[in-house]
Formats: sequence, C-alpha cells, structure tokens
Amino acid sequence: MKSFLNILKEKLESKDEFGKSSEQRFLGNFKEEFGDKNSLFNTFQVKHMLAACVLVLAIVGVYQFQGQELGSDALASLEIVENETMLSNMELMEELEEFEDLTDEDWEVLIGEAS
Amino acid sequence: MSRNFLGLSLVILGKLSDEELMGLVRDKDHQKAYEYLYKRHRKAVMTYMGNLIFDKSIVEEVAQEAFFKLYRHRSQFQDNKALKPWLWTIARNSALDYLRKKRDILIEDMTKEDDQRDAISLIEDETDSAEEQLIKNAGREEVLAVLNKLPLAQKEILSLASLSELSYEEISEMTGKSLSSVKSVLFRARKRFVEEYKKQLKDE
Repeated sequence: MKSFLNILKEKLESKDEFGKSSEQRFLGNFKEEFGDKNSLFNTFQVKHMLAACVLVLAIVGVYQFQGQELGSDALASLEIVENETMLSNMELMEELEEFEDLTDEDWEVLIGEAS
Repeated sequence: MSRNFLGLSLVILGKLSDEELMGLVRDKDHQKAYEYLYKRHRKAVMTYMGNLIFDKSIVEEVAQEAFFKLYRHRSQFQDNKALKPWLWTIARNSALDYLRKKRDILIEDMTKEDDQRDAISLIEDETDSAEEQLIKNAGREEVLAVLNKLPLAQKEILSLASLSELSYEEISEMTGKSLSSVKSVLFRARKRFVEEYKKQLKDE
C-alpha cells in the first residue's frame, strides 16, 4: 500500500499547479502580515558593511582634502577595512566548520546572500 | 557577526529538519526558517487542498491561512513532537472549515465510519505490483480524473495519506478515526481507484 501511495504522490505532485507566483504572493503577504524581520537592512552584517564603507569614504575624503597621495600603509589599511566583513564571515564559517560541505551551488547562494 | 544572517545561512537552513526549523521559528522568530518550512511543504499541502477545493484562488487563500495559523501558533510547538502531523492537522482543518462554511459538500460523508471488514489484513498486502504498475503508467490528468470519481471520504484520505506521507497511526490521530477505520477507508479507496482507472481505460 505504501508504494501505491508513493506512486500516487509522485503523480499528483508531478505538476506544480500553483507555481512560483503563488509562493511569491504568499511570502509577500506573510511579510505584510508579520513584518520582515529578516530584511537585509535589519541585519547586523549590512550595518557593518555600511559602516565600513562610510569609514573608507571618510579616510579617502580626508586624504584628498589634505592633497596628499595615499601611501602604501594607508592603502593596506583601506584594504583591510574594505575586506573586514568578508574576513569576519570567513572566520565565523571556519569556526562553525561549515566550509567542508559547501558545494558550488551553496557558495553561489552564500555569495548571493551576502551581496 | 550576526549568527542569524550567516551562521544559519540559507544553505544551512535547508539542511535542518522540520522540527529544527520550527524550533528556530518558535525561539528566534526566524522568518527565513519559516520560509523554508513553507517552501518544503507548500506543494503537497496545496495539492491535497486542490483535491477538495476546486477553485485555485480559494485553495491558495485557504493554504495561506493554514500556514499563517501555524506561524501564529509557533509558541505551542513542542520539541519532542513531530511537526508534520501538526501542520497537516491545521491544513486539513482549514480545508474542512472552508467546505463547512461553503456547505457545498456533505461533511458527514467524510467522517462516517466505514465497514472495517477484512481491511486490516488486506491493506497490509503489498504484493499487487501489477496495479501499481498500471498507475505508474497513468498520466497526472488521468489520475486526477479517477481520483475525482471516488467518494469524498475515500478521495480525502487517499490524498492525505499519499501527499502527507504520515503513518496510518498519525492519520488516525489527526482525523479522529480509529486505526482500523483509516486502513479500511484506504483499502477501499485503493480498490475503487484501480477499478475506476480500469473502467476509464476500457472506455477509451
């Protein structure tokens, strides 16, 4: 009987009658009803990235204002600040030992999510 | 760093069980985890509802309300309980509530006890692979047409048992029917389904 039920399930689900548009409508309504607590702008990471960008712009602005060329030390500092978020992500992921299992597809999702 | 954002990234969420995801929804109000649960079960729940409620826009509305209900009651989720029976109980009750309000079917048809004669031994017979092969070769539309020829009680329980993948015991618990009654209805439904399908093949 179980295999009969499995065949039936396979047949019934062989077509997604409601499709992705229905899914999108649900998610839209869900956010409207319950608020979007996972909004990118609410996440710590985006705030972190924005703060890093502001800092970089401020440093560049100060140097330009002073009419000085950026020295190699300053450039290195800027690079570290720019990559701070990514480095933090890597550290966290390594701590969680989650890199081992990630497929190319997983990486794409992660990179897509972080950007 | 926000563990919510990275430590439990989409990739990782996808690997969690229903119960782990629901635990996150309950404890952290983690909406991404809830989205995963929704995406994981949406198709089966909506297909089941579609077999009872024919209007697609209504199915969408009723399914949405069922999933909203699950979210609203997230605090009631218990760690030692499986999520699926709870989700399917909410889904089934939502569909039946709609049908009751519409009064376009006789709900008592779905709840009456069937004759339990010989059902238990027969339902556990897994040997009839010829019948299964027959259905394997059928198209989806044919399957749906045959399913719609079944009495409502049989159609409902057959859809529920196949799409939810719940055990007979879980179905018995959620429907309030005895275990032998669930098995009886399923046995009859399968028998009738095969008969109707064969009849349909002859007519073609």
